[in-house]
Amino acid sequence: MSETIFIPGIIASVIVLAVSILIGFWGRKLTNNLADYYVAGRTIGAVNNGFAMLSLSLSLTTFLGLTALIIYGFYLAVAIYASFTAAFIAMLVLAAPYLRRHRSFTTMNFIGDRFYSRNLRLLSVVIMLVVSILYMVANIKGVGIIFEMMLGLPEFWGILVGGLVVTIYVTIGGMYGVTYNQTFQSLVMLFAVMLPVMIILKALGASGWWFPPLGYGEMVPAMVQLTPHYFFPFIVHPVWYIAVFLGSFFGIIGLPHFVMRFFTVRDAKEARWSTVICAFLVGIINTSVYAVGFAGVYYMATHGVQIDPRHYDRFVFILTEALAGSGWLAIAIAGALAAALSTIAGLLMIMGAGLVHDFYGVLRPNTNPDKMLKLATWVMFGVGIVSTLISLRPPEFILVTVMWAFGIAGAAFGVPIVLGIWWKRANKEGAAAGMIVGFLTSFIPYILIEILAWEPTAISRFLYGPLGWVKSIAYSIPLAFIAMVIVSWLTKEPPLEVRQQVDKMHGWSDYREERYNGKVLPVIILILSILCILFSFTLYDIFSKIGS
Amino acid sequence: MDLFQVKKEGCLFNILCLCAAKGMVIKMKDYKTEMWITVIVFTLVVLTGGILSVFFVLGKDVFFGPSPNFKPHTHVLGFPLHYFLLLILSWIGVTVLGGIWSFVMDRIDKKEV
Repeated sequence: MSETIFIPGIIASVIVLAVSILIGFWGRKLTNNLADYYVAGRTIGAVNNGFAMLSLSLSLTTFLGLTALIIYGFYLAVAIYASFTAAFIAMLVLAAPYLRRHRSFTTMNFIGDRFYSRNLRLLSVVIMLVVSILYMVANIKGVGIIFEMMLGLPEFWGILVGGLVVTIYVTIGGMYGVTYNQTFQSLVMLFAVMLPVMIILKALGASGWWFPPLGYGEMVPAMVQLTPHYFFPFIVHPVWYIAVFLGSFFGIIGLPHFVMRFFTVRDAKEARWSTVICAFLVGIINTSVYAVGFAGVYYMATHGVQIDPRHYDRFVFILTEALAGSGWLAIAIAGALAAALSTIAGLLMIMGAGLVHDFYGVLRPNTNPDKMLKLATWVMFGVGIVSTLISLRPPEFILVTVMWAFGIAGAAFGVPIVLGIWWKRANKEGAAAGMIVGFLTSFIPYILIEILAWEPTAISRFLYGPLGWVKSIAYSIPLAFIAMVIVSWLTKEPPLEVRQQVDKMHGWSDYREERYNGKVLPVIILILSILCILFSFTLYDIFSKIGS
Repeated sequence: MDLFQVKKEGCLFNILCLCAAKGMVIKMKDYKTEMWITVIVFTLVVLTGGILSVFFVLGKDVFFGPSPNFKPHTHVLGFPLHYFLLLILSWIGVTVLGGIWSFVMDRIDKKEV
């Protein structure tokens, strides 16, 4: 398939790309000022934002990466995504409406204002770039796979073409274009995920094929016979689950391109309900992708098919072509392309906005708004080109890089955002300590393991087992919490106008000193964080047999 | 200013003070409602969203016996119970929790406006 041109796939992809670019042009007409360009004039409704968030969260990580991970890790992959689905509601109750009321444009803007520090805002731009590039590289690799399959071209050209197309429509349309594109792409994805899965399950003989999330129950006994450990939850250390939970829950709050969506909605109520809508839709898609992963393992076991682990990322396409035919493969390809485009667009948007609004805008605060708008357009274009070039050296597995991004974002951004909203006493010194500790303790393991290719167990015996490095999240996020709480307590409290911001974020029209200012919350956070780290390391031996 | 006027103004002042105090009490009540509903919903979401798996792991010897002999005994719609719970609670369960939390917060917001 990769050596020939796949015409139906090309037609479906060209339709998705053409509509995306048209929506980009339409978005341009709606854009009159910087607020329109960055946050769509804060006019987006709950349903529209819910769908836009859906396509932002369902990147190629879900479409291709999750299936690959299920084939590799069975139940573990499902556990990761269960946390990821639930994390949307954690983001809802801890951050979404409060961030909307803050009236920032970006996460970096929020951190700079809430922690009254220009330096922290600049530092957060650097962290945002690291996190976004990690997330982006994985998705552009997916685009490369798609173009390789359609055109028989090497990944290299797929990455170049895909990266350029997204860059053009994000640059043209700004946030209006991105939002309406993401909504369109969500609809494409829902159609392109659900229908091929139904056909695949039907081909494998599942009578519940019409409802993929729960439609494969009757195949379970056969699967248990063929692959006894498919539903086996005990093959990793319990800390692994804790790490995944922490990475998902705080990572999603920390990922700047997710957070940016809340700044685009009309008010806090719309922010809340858009997250509920998104969580429901994400659940449908994720549970359907579990069905694809199950069907993939089942198909390999029953048909004796062997696939090179390096090609696990394209297993969705292999399975669709084998069981549903090339027509459905074209639809799956269009869906995958839509998934990639929407996420890459969100990432480009946050990187461009961060560089112009939070970096250049802070260093040159008196720049004319018209000049800033023009600059934003060009920076967005430049960022797109540079990111595409960086993506020419993609990771082996898509989901691995994204999981690192979640861990780093959770430790460096998730912690200060949550404490900044819920604890008035959190000050700039504490935020600086939390962000630096969180970033270093999560980014250094990434450098050692992924760039310098060290064995995780060579760094710490604690990091053994399948995807053992995930466990580094179990100490980086608690360490960031501990650093932020202790340093905030030891240094002077934030000024009154900053403390007032906290009440305003929660929607109170008056100010009361005692709100969000108690000692219970920070003490509980400290205790839980210390327990988490102690549990991770000192109880190692008790559970060592599970990991062996 | 006659006595009646003073009395009237005093009365008005008292009423205003009472209203303000009542408003503050209501606001603190709403604040506590916000804190409690958030703590409860967040804890439930934590439990449903994956941490539940930890309990299966921690309690594996108690619930299922040593790992190599693990065999799920209870099935729902054909799925092992722990898998089904993870599937449904992390999706429908958290969506319902999110809906309840949003509904309560909408009501608090409406009062504040």
